[in-house]
Amino acid sequence: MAEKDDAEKIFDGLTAWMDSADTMDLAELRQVRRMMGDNVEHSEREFLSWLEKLKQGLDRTTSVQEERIESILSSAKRLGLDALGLADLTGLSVVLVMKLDRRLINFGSIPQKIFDLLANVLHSATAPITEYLQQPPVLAMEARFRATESPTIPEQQDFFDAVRSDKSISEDRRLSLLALSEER
Amino acid sequence: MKTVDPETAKLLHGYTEDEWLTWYNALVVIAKRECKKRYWRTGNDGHLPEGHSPETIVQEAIARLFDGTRQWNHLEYPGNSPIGILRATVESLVGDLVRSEEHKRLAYLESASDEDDDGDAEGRADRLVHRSSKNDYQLSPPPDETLYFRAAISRIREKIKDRPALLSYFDCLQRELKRSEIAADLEVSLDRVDELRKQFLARTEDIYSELFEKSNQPQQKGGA
Repeated sequence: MAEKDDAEKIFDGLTAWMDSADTMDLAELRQVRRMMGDNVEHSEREFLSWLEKLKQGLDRTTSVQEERIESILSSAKRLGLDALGLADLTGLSVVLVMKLDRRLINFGSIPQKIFDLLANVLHSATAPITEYLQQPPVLAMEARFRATESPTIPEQQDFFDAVRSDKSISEDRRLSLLALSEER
Repeated sequence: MKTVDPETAKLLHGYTEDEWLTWYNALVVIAKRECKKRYWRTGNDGHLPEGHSPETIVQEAIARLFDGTRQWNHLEYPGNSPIGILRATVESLVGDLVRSEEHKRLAYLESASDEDDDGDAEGRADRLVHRSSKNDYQLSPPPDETLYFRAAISRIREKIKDRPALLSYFDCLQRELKRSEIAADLEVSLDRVDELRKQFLARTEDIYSELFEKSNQPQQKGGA
């Protein structure tokens, strides 16, 4: 073992300059690798081709993460919009925006036009919006923290029923939204 | 499923081709040294077991950063360059592979010893020799390795004997001083140390080429 230790120690000393490889520039590193008997051009070509595939994999992972939205209102907030601002830009009402945000509207009853409007205003693709709206309803934030008894989630409502029963919406908007039922 | 944190993903996307090539080549050089330091334990042409080579180890380290298996702790490895965390990963991977192979080799020898404990000393010795010839792993470097390394040191000294600065630099290498330690020892700047390294390698390139060529050659198995 002493001989092995000797050889290892001498080799360490002989090659100690390699320890600072991470401070060398590309030209010097290529020279060093050639000195070590490597085909640098071939090795680099293979590496870059492999790296490209790795980057594409990262693109896919990142885009899937980016595509998911936390909620309608949080996406709007990131753009500087509150519920009222979002309602104005989409032709909805604050009540309808809140119901959509909490997924209290039956997904199957929502017209395609609403998905497109939300996607357009939120600078998103349609898929993340539909994916969000398909998930189960959520409690209002106040209900989660203030209820003394276990709060219950209201049943999901038909979109057009919600438009008809909305007391806060202007008549113009109500008529425009109800007109969407004829386009279906 | 592990994911890459957004900060790391952004950084990984932003590097240029030249930056990646610089880090790749640097890591291959570092990995190659680590592998060669241990090559006499494997008899596999300087390559590590399981089909690994310095290049595949570097790729594995980079892949782990990309797929989130290795998380980049920005407090531990600050700055925008991934070379620190990649280097640590490369060194850890080489260490793991060598430890794993040493473990296998020890288990193999212990098992051989148990199975052959039949009181037939001559037969046991024969069987161990036979197994040893099939075994890829060696306990020690070839007997002439130390002599060869010592001769290389003498040849290097001869090549740089007219340059006291290079002799001092080589003395520091022999003491295994790191770049910053060499700068402190010689009382020069880090740039000057880099300059000395370039001059030293320009003078001794043929000796190092031969050294790496020699250690790339397959060894005679079952050495001393």
